[in-house]
Amino acid sequence: MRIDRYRQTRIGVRFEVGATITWEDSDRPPLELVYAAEGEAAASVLPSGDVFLLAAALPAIRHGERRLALEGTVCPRLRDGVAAAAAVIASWYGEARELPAIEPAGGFRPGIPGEPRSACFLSGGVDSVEVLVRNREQFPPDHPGSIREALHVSGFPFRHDPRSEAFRNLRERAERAASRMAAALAAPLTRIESNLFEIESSFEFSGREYYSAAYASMAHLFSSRWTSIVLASFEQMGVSLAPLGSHPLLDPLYSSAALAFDHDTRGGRRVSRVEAIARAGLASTLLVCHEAPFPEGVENCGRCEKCLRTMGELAAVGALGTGGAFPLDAFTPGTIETLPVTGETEIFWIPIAEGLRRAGRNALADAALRYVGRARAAHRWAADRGWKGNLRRLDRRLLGGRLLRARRALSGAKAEP
Amino acid sequence: MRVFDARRETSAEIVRLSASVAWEDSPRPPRTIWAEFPAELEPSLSEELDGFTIVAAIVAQHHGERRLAIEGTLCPRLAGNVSAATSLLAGWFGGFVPGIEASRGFAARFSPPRARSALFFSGGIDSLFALARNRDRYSPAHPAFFRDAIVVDGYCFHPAGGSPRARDYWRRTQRATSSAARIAGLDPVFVRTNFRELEDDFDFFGAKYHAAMLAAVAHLLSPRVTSATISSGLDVPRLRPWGSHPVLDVLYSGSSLSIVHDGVESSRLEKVDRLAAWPAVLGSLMVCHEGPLGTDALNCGQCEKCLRTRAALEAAGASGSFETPGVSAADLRDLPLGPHPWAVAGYWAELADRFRARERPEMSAAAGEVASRAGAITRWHDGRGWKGAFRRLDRRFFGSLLLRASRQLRERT
Repeated sequence: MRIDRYRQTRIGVRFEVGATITWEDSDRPPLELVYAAEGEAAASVLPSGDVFLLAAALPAIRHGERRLALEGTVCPRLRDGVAAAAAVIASWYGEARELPAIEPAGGFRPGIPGEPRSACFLSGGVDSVEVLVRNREQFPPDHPGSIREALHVSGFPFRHDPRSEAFRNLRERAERAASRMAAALAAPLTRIESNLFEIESSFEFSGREYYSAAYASMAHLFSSRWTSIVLASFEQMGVSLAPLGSHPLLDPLYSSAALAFDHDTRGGRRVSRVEAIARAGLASTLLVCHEAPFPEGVENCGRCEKCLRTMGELAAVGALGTGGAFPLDAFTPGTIETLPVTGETEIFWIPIAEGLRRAGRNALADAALRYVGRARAAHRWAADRGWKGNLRRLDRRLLGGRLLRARRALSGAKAEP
Repeated sequence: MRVFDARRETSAEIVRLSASVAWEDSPRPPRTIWAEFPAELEPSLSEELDGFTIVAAIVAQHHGERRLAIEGTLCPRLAGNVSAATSLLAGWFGGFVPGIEASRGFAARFSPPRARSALFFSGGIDSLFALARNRDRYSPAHPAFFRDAIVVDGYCFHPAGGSPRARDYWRRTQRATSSAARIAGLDPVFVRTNFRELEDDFDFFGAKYHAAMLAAVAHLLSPRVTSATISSGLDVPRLRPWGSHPVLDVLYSGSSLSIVHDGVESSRLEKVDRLAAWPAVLGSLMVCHEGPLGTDALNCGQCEKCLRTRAALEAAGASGSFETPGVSAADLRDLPLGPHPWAVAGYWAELADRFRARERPEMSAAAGEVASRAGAITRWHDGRGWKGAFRRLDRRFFGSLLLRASRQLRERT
């Protein structure tokens, strides 16, 4: 892979940085990679080998490129970090991967950090807002650790087709939430968008491997301005630490000598994070819902797992009334009972159930616990745990799944009158 | 657990920083924990309890203390990080997460005006590699260029304290690190602590505590140091829950001091390859935890770690630079596997591959034989395979009766 023709342009208030990506070993078309920034720090964006290395290294590995030739220099710390990240990802998923030879035309040279200046990513959701709320509580404004500016990545998550109304609607809602939060917490906002997910458009790849490398690539555009940027962790230490594209093992590896990429796991359990946001009076501005599109004025659907989870957390800390961003009538035992199980979300619902019980909302607490039970059973099934799992594995291995099919046929037959 | 009464005692030669620790839930006697620094560092030492908080938190988590009450102020970033660290340890090994309280509240610390980087230095392969790579990466003017080599007494994989073995180990460490520091242009900072006395269990030290102990020392030096690097002892394929780990170590950072975990992407053999190109420091290499040696040597040359290092240097074509040069297949025969045989199988397998690639079949076979002996113990230790499953059943349902019977039978025959 070659990455060259670095460029930098300004169109009104929009500052763009770009480069051309050419595949050498994989039969894929070249891509004009573009980052566009608007807002407080936008004028500081600069193209660099570090930015493009982070954007391209993991897709290059995935597609078997033998080298990654870049213009300019690359930080040697980042080079080693990317090698470590590739090794970590390979160890997680058990896939043999060869890191392409990294060949910067200007060699490996560390940047020199400027005056300490901290920034954070701000999506408008629970984790990133809590980071900023906590930072305001803990650091005086003159401390180098005090977050001075926030960066909002526009158009992500991109579960929806980028050409769809759903995508546009979610992007606008997220920008609105981030802008309000940034204003409330005195962190001037910069918005950035990029087509870097077109280098490899698989949503699964992004979630499993690439997410924080992509974010780090955007952060390194600002390495002449910021010396540290915080990415909120949605992991909860000691509760869940599953392999994921943003992970405390991966993200610090995307630091360079000039910019520290801080994966912040200090927020504790999600329910405590929500409590801190409610205490700061910001619950009514939260955007947690990735469903779309919604009519004007609707920010969160109130029916998906993430909405119900956040409402549950607000209720558990006695702050549901402050969550004006949610349709409160949706938060009933019935909606929790019928919630489909998605992901390993039961870890969030156990503290919710405890909090609801403490608040005397027993019907809701019971519904939350029933959801936990259903989720655990589903995951046990998916992971083939317990004696039933052993039996299913044996059935698959020795009988080609005939027993399972027979049981399903039988239960189907019974269900029919 | 309460941590209180930060004190500083100064003599002509040393400064001792100490704090009192009192248990609240565990029936254990109160203790004073301390760290001693050379007297000339007096202006560079912290007045705060942050460093002591780290070691206390890990021990408190281990013993199920419900809270860690600091009588003073505490860095809020450190408090959040330590809470995440104890949560991580609880997730790995079980146990409770103590709540952290500070009687005079949380106050962000300010860094000294000039950035200064330090390396925790033992004179072994991992820290020498981190040093070599730092010199490859940075010019002396760069803030990430290591200036201090922090050498901590008691950072050894045998019981610490005043035993002849521990005293010998510390003497050898000082000699080895002084020499390497001189070659690399580092200021050595020798620190003695009694942090291991707070909980002297050896398994605890390995599995949970050893990086915490180093980070605590760095925080006591935080008016001088803004970044302190811990060299990785594990590479990615061998990562496991352990007292120094890339996820854990960085959680000992505060608002004025970063703790960095470095080198996880490189295997021990890759590290030796890099050091082979720096023969000047290989004469100061000290890898040996045996002792007392009773000679002027830095390494015994015969233990598993020494022989592993000799073999790695041989494979890298640099065996002449080490204190005990050269190694033959005969040296590896019946090699004692040391106190952690389950941890070394991978190293020897990597060596066997390397010798095979170098067309040294005899050495490859000898290293492979060590790997296979260590691998068998590893499998036993991890309870893998049908024998492991059988042992687990025996433990669960028969209280290991079958294992004891089989051992008795073997002894009789």
